[in-house]
Amino acid sequence: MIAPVLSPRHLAASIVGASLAIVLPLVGTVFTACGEDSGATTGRRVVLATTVEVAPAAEAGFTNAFGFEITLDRVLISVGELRYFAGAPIGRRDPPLAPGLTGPRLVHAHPGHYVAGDELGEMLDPLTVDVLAGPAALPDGQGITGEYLSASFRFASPPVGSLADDLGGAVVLVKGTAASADLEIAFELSAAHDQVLDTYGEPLIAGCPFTAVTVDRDGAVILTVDPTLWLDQVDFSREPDVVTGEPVVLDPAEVPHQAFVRGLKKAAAYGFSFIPNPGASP
Amino acid sequence: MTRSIITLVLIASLATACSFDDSGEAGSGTAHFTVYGEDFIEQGIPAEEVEDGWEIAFDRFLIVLGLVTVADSTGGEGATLAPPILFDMTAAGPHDVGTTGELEARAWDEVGFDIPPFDAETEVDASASEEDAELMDENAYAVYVEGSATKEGVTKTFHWGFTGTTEYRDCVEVDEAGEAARVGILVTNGGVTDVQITIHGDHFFYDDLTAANAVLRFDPLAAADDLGDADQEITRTELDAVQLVDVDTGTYGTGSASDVNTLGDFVLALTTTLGHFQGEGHCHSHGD
Repeated sequence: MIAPVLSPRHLAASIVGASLAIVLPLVGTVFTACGEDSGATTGRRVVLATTVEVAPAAEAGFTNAFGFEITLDRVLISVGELRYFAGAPIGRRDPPLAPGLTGPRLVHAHPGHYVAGDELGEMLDPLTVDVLAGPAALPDGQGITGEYLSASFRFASPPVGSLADDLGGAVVLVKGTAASADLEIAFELSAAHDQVLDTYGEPLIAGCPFTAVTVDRDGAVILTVDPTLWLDQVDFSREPDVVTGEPVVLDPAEVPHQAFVRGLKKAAAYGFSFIPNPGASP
Repeated sequence: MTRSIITLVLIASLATACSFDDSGEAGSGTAHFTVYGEDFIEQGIPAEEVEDGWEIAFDRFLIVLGLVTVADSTGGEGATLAPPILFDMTAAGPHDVGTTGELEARAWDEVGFDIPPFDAETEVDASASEEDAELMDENAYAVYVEGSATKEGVTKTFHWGFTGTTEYRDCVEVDEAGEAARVGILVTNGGVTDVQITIHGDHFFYDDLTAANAVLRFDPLAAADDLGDADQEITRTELDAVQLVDVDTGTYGTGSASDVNTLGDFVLALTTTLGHFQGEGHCHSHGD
């Protein structure tokens, strides 16, 4: 059952989406009546296996915006509901542009009016996963055929699964090392439920990019978590009393941790894609 | 109930779209495009509209509008208005953009436009001056805004130019409740369909790229100058120097734009949200 999302934001988005759901089939119908083929392919039920993996750059080690060479040792995340939508994400740019955000940009025109559109699929069972331990299978989700353009990611709270206790009450835990010319530390960063709330008070990341794809058969949704974006703006040197060679648990009251939380809220850090089952029929 | 009304209106509209003239051929009509900056650009943004009480006024709001296109998703050939035109949206509008040639009388569901950099092909509307054109040409600006914000006796000014093309596609008209009323436009038999591209100048001051409850906010922009040379002129360099993590009011959420990390990045990203359709209607892009 694809349930409607009832948060205020999603309610607003779904109003527009529902209206489009009325309008678009009508447009197609009338085109057909006028001698055109609408070619509609949406609406057939599909089974969506679900896998969580880590972005390769995070696995290999990376350098963040402040020049820290970062190696990750453990990345635990409490994955909650995943929902997939027909609306394009805001701020998506394809291909990436650099430097300086020049050139054509893919945008939605109205900030605050991310139009999620129709919900096309979902995975509702939470699980805590260690994304550095290799791809983790989540329970199957379900959906309907159509063009999937965006998704939402919810942090499950409290966390569930065999790794839940390792989170120590948080919804995300990152352990690793960070090294610059002046500083080398083993760090631990975590974020609790209250720190990842959106502007409606939900632990939700809306408008995540779903690599544009037409889902026309059973297959697997791949959620790629990218901790490089979580840590890109963390300037470890701004952590008070940090000493080279000593482990540090970053203080939620300080700027480096706040930068980490901003990173957690970047929708681009949760990328979705789809791989059709080889044997499945469209 | 509202959806039923939309449905009925749409059916009636599309029925008209599929009408035929006396010869049995589908009829034709045209679409007349205008661009309008509304009161927020022409008159300014009142302090009560801004969360932290700044009153904002634009002295110049230059924008290049190009590649206004009418098409449809079935591959039907529509129309494109060319060349690009430079407008100053602070002048009283709406401003005339142009009228298409004859289009088949029916629904056209792919309407869009670009805001591209000024180039040699760009024409200058009467709302803009030759001096404006020189400024845009020399810097290859697509958008240039000049104005001030005042609060409690303090006035901050800004002169910001932006290069790069923003493409708006698949524009959707919405009704007063914000519900989608029509995808694209409807060209009627023998009629002229009025289409307004609406520029929302207040978007420069939103405090979130994604949240539906974003508000207009100016304190962080003013503080950027205070942290810089404090000469009351907020420069883009000063905005670039402020990390979003150091902004202590507003959310400044960035959605799926992964590389928006400074206040300068944020304002730049907001420039891609200025264009609208038929008032509050919206568009998105399919990219190049």
